[in-house]
Parts: sequence; structure tokens; C-alpha cells
Amino acid sequence: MRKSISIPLGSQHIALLEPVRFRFETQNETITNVEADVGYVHRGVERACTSHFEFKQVPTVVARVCGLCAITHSLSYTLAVEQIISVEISSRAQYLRTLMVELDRLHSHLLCLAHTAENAGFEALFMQIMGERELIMGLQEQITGNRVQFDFVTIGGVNRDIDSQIAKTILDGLETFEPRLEEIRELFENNWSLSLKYKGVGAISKENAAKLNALGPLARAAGLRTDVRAEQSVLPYSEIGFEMVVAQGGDIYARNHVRLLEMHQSIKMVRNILEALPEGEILSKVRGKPEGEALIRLEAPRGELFYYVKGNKSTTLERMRIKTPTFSGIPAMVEIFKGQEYGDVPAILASFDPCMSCTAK
Amino acid sequence: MQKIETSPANFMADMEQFYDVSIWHFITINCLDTGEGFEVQYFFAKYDSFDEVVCYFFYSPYEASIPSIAPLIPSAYLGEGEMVDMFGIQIDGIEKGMFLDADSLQTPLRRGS
Repeated sequence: MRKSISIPLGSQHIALLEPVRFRFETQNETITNVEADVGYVHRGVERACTSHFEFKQVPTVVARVCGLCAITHSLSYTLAVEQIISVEISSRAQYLRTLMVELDRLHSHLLCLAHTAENAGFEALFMQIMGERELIMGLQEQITGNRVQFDFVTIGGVNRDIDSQIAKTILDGLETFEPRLEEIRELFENNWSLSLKYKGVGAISKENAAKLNALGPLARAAGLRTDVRAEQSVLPYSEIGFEMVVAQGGDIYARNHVRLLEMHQSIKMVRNILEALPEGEILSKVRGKPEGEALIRLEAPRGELFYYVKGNKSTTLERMRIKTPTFSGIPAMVEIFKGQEYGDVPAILASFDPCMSCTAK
Repeated sequence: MQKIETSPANFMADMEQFYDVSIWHFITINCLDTGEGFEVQYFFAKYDSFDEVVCYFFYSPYEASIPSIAPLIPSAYLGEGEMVDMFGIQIDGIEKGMFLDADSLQTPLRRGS
């Protein structure tokens, strides 16, 4: 007779340094059912942004929703509001915004890969990847003045311009980073303990990914062609050479493979942005107050980030709704765990790259 | 964004006719407190298309219970749970407490809370 055990994981756990709790029902070592509890640190950001803060202050607030994709949060909000106050944004500002989104993707994907290495027992590789991530964050600091939680995007454009010296620093940085990324990719694609043993582990089919509305690398690794960068016209992705990365298998290996290829894509797009960066102002004058409703979808490192805003011509918004990629990904995560070995849970979790800070906004 | 109005009574039938999992990606559910009740919105984006988002919405009185879309779109239960906690809207089969503890400020996005 098989023995049934209920195992809690979180809300504080060494394999999951964020406030979420899973409860696994197992028979011997096999997971038969999972419950996820995400309601630990709700921070009331939506309420704060519609009661305490004026609409022009909100980009600074929502940049604090998440330390990993701060730019995507403030940019999503800003793009939504800009639709209902009729402000013309210069091409230069849109290019600079996109530049930062792609640098954000680089350091976020690196963090995920570092955690995967750590979980597999590759502590030196973890340190090495975190060191590479530091290089990217240094470039972001050159552009915005901050390593994290950048207040770079504002309604009407961006707060800081870049000059030729900063552009050269970014290009030199990527020149240094790219061969190192290639080394990391080589390891993640060919090392048994780090990646090959994860083929077939934590897998989701394309059909289930669609049914459960999986997003980002989680969905694309299962063969589902969904990437907001290919589905929106607000940011100039069609001009900077974006190509969607899709893989097959839907397992841990495929998810990391997608991230590694996407990082090469991001490097290419950053170079294209700097090469084609239009001249012009970076900040347009903003007049009036938001009236009406608007939504925006952007591709954050973990998938689709959604913002809805509604204004009634006052300085405070009537409603702001944030839907983050990890929030949408939880049903798929729960499904993936079923049937897996409990010992693989830390590796599967790391491959989701969950962000509970985003989820508990 | 294309907005399509429906009613609580017709909502599930409309969804069964509209929602094809291979064509539409369910984005999320949203709620607005209109002062007289709720406006409930469901957002969908079309795969492999450009800027194509559809929003189904309906109005519901404060005290009424609305159907859950989770039987059709299983992942929707989280968004519905969030709206139950944040607005105090009643959704069939969705219980309070998914996001807010009992000692938190209740229904924080409802007017006057």
C-alpha cells in the first residue's frame, strides 16, 4: 500500500525565498495534488494608487511593485495613461524605454538561471551568473542612475537621456557579456546534472498551457506562440528585429533554453536600438488629466503584464488594475507539479521563475 | 479594445459561444464600483494578432451573485478570488480569503471602505 503524506512548502522555505505556500499531497514520492496559497503580503498598491497618489506620481509607486521588472511596471502604467491624456511621445523616448525593458529582461533571466544552477548544486556557477547579472545592472545604472527600482519612465517620455559615451559603455558591456553568455548556454544545454537530467521533468503540454493561460517562457517552452512583443504596436519591436523564441517539450530544460535564446535576442535588439536611436526630445509636455479607460499589455520577463486604468478628469485615478505574469501562471504551475517527484520540486519551482512580489501587489 | 456588453444572465452562454481556447488568451477579470453596483469586465487577447483585445462586461447590483467563469476557463478562479476579496462581489463557488486575511481591511477597493 502506498503511503500518503501532506508536505507544506513555504511560506518561508530555502528553495523558495518568497511568501507563497504550496501544500503537496504525495503518495510515496509522487505528487498527487497541490494547493497554492498566495495571500501572504498583499500590499494594497491598487488602492494606494487610486486614493493616496496623484496619477503623475503613480509611475514611481508601481516601479516598487517588483524589483526585477520595475521598468515594465512603470512603463505599462505610463503607456496606459498616455492613451487617455493625449500626449505625443517622441520616438527617441520610446526607443529608450524599449532599451531598458530588454536590459531588464537580461538581468531577470540571469537571476532565474542562477537559481537553477544553485538548486542543481552548482554554487560556483550561481556566483558566476550573478556576477554577469551585476554587469547588466551596472549598465542600467549608467542609463537611469539606479541599479534597481528605476524611476526612468515618466508620463510623457523618460527622465534621462543617454549620450554617445553611455551608448559606447552599453555596447562594450554587451561585447564582454555575450561570449560569457555563450559559455553559460553551453553548460545549460550540455551538462547532465544542470540541464539534461531535467528533460521531461516539470513538463506541460501545449494544449494544457493554452487551457491554463500560461504565459511567457513557461508557455513558449511548451510550443505556444504567445509573446506580447509580437502582439502590440506601442513599442517599436517591429523596427528593432524582434523574433519570437518558441521551443518544444514544455519542461525545465525547454524553459531555460527559451530564456537563454531570448537573452541573445535582447542583446541583438539593444544593439539595434542604439544603432537606430532617433534624435529628438525625451520628454513631452503633459497637459490635462486622464479621462476614460485604457489598457496596456507588455511582455515582462515572466510574461504578459496587464494594466487597466480609468480616469474621470481628476488628479487621482478612479481605478487601476494590475495583472502580473506570475499571478496568471499559478494554475499552470499547480498542474505541472501533479505527477512529479517531490525531490524535483525546487528545480521545477526555480524554472517557473516566480515573482511573488508582483503577485502580492 | 472592443467592448461588448452582456448581462449576468446571458454571460455564460455568450462566453461558451465566444471562447475558443486555441484563438483567445484570457487575460484577466476586472471590477469597477460604479456607485450603484459593479461593472465586471473580462479581457481576452487574440493569439498571433496585433492589438486585438476584446472586453466582455456587464453590470451587477451589489447584492447579486454572478456566475463563475472558472468551469469554462479554469485559470480564472484566481482573478475571481481577487475580485471577491477586493470588492466584496459574490461569485458562485468562490470563497473569501484567497488574498486578504480576516484581520485585513475588507473589500478595500469598494467605495467608502
